[in-house]
Amino acid sequence: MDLTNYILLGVQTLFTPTNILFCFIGVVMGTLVGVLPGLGPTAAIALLLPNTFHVSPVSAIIMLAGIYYGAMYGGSTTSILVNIPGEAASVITCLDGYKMAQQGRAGPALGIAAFGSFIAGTISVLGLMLVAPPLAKFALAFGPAEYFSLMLMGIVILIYLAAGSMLKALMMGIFGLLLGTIGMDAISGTQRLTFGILELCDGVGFIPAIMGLFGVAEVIANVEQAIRTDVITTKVKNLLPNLKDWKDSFWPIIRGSFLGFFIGVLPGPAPVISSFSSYAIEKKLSKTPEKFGTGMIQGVAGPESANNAATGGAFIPLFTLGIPANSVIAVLLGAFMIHGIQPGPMLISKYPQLFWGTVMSMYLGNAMLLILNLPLIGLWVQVLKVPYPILFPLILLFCLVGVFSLNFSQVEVALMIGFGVFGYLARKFQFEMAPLVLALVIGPMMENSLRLSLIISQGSPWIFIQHPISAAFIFITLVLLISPLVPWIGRRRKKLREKVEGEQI
Amino acid sequence: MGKVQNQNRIAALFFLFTGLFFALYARTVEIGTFTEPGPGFMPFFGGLILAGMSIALLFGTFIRKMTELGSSFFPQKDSWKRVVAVFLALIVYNLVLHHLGFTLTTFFFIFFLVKFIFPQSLKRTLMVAILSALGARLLFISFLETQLPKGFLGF
Amino acid sequence: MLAILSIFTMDATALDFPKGPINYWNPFNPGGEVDIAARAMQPYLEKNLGVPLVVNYFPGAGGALCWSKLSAAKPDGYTVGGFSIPHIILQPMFMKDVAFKTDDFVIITIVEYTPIGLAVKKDFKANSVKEFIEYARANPGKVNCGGVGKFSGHHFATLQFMKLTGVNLNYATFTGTSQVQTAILGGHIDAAFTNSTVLVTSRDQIKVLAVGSPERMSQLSDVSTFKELGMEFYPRIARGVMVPKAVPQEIQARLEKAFLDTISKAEFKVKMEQAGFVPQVMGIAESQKYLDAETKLLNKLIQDYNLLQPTK
Repeated sequence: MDLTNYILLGVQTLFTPTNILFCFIGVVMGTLVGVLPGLGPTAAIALLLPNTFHVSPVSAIIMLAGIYYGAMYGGSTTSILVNIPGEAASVITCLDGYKMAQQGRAGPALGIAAFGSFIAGTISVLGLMLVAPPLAKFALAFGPAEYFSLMLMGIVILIYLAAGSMLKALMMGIFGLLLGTIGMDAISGTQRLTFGILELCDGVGFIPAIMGLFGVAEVIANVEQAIRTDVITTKVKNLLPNLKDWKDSFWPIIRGSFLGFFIGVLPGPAPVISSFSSYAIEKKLSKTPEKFGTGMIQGVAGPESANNAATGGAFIPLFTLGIPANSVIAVLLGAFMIHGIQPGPMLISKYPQLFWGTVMSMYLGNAMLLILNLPLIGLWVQVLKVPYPILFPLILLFCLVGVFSLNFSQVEVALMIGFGVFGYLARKFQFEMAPLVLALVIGPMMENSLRLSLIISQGSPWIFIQHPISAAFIFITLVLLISPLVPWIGRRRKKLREKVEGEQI
Repeated sequence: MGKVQNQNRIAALFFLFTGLFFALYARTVEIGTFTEPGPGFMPFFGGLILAGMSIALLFGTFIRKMTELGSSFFPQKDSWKRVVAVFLALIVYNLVLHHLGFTLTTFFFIFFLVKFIFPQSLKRTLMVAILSALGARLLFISFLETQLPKGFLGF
Repeated sequence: MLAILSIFTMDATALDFPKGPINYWNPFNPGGEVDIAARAMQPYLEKNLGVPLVVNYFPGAGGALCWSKLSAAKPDGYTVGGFSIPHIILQPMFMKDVAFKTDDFVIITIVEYTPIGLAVKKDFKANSVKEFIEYARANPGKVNCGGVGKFSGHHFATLQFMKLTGVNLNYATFTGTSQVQTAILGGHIDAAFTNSTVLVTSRDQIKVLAVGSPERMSQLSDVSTFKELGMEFYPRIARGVMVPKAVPQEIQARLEKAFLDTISKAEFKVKMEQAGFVPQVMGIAESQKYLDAETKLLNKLIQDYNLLQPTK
């Protein structure tokens, strides 16, 4: 069977009333949980899982997959509107997206996020269709050494995201790394800084951290101002991106999609890494890097595309190897097994209608999401018009419920409040939040990979250079670290030359 | 003395303290060596690096001359009351949730915040509080089936 | 007369339960092994008990969070929890601040176990357990063997194997089964002691040397068991359902009946096998025996390796 036959098979499988309905339910539920901060796709999937037992596996997977990428769409909405990321991958969107909203450009921001996500989603599904097996092999080449180098590079990239003082951003990053060490150390089994609190055993959760640092702190910072006339300036000019926006965003979207897709294949926090890598790349390539952080649309287009593409990429290890890339996909894997489908390399050939049906449903789902989300932009913007004295308690309520519903833990809510205090003070002292959160997410994985690599190499640090992919990342990291110094060196040499020439004359 | 300088100094001291705390704590769990890092490795070196950077920041405040006129920490005189009130409301919500149950606690929470932070009329407050509590209940408990606590009154 | 009366009262109590939905607390994430077993049982249980079964997830601390909560839950039979052995034995011993003890619970049933097997990466020099042992002897401490967590089923399987064969393996701790899977598929580690579900899924991309079940698994019919190779070595993770110990006897019995009826059904067994599990049908008494035997074995290993000392 060749490609067109497969596509036909997929379309045939997809276009039944049941499957279309399930696709629709999936993306709607996904968007809903994505918009509600804290509540994640895992919760939605767990909720709807029992309903899938009585239908065919294809329908079940279509719906559950829809929830997953629907949630990515929804997550950017709150980031842009109220500076509260829906999940870690949306943190970057807050940086410029919220600023755009404050300038009355919430509509274009949301619009570009929606379109970018759609294009990225489509590209990643194409990728899934065409290059799934070879890419899976690529993913397997990543072992602990490669992960460490990748994460290390990620941490260094974080510094570039700083809109303000790099030293301060770096300090927040290191602090994030330190916070990430709290909890039970996986490799040795020792508890670090858990103070006898069982809930801290798994570490400081990033959802309480995000809700506190971005949600609570933002609200309190706003509450400080005596009279809030508007959170957002009154006239919301356009609801959709204009031509200039499109021109500016085109390449970021394309770059973000490809970047996100490839990173998404790697198991782990791929959407997070892809989103801020995209931001860093756009900032580097931009003619006006200093404007990033003030409302540049490229800062929304790129990362949003990247994190959506990453979700598509995450399906590859699932379908080709039977390995879940993250905990959400793990639920899908479980769903396979409950329905009696054996995951593994044979899955695509043994159950072609499952694979191709799901792939086709992703196209449909992406289109549905775009159609759903565009009119909603008008609605969301109306939400902003709610007077702040009434809006802010509701925002706080969502934060509280969001965190509490994760593990029904008062400890985590208390953590959120603590982060809220810290975030509020950090804003006052002009420290940025993003490096801390991102380091908190990446830090534990980086540390584990480091120690695991050294265990595997029996203590030899050369393992990081011996593995070619890892060596490449280390090289890039060094370049990134040294390159800011190069212009400095260049200036010094120029000054020196001028001095010498001046003396000669 | 500039406001920014002061801020940076206080912040630097905070991070210095934090960095040292982690480094000292790391000594109670094994730090290990470079070729075999233990659980204390990251906290130790991370803590030291943070402490080092805070000292650098502190230095910077003495070297550079910033003459931004100092303004008070809070923009308005009584801002601090609102800030503290909101934090207290959050803390109380967390503590009371299990006893009063989700719906009631939410009602009181919204009521308090709407009425006392940027005071709205009583009628409006009641309306918003009731609608929010019921709406949240519908959304989270009935529709999303999240397990939120029931209070001693049973709902 | 009294006898007749007592029959009436006994009937009355037994009929009274369950009156409402039963909560099934899952100590791990959705989609995991406990969840798969629970979902497979759910329809039959609901029919048998006549009430809905509500699955709640309380992941955290490798299960310790859920079990701590469970030991303090109301012992009225309306709350049951999934568990894994050896987790519930080892955690109270090795984790500080854990708020439960193994004997806070009564195990109602063990429904399945996943044998742990030894697999090596595709291009590894050994093709059988014998060759593996020889290679490991020649290269002490150099063979990397992956598993999930310290003081876990995989870790203890590795230790037991090392003790039985006298070789010295380098245990590499991963944070999740999928990471071990990725690492061995990509050749980053030499070997792994891992769950049968992984072995079944990836069987064409790794070499499965042996598996720790008493008889050959139908899904891995060409893989020998450790027993066949002369080793009394049955590493496994067993899963089932338990309740707080204070639940009244009659209610325990009713639950036991419901579960046993469910897991003895042929369709259930087939579903479990397809997913890579080895289904079991053990009631309260048998499960307790199993638990005691495992506890003894683990205690011995702990002594031999001196594990309760503060380790790196």
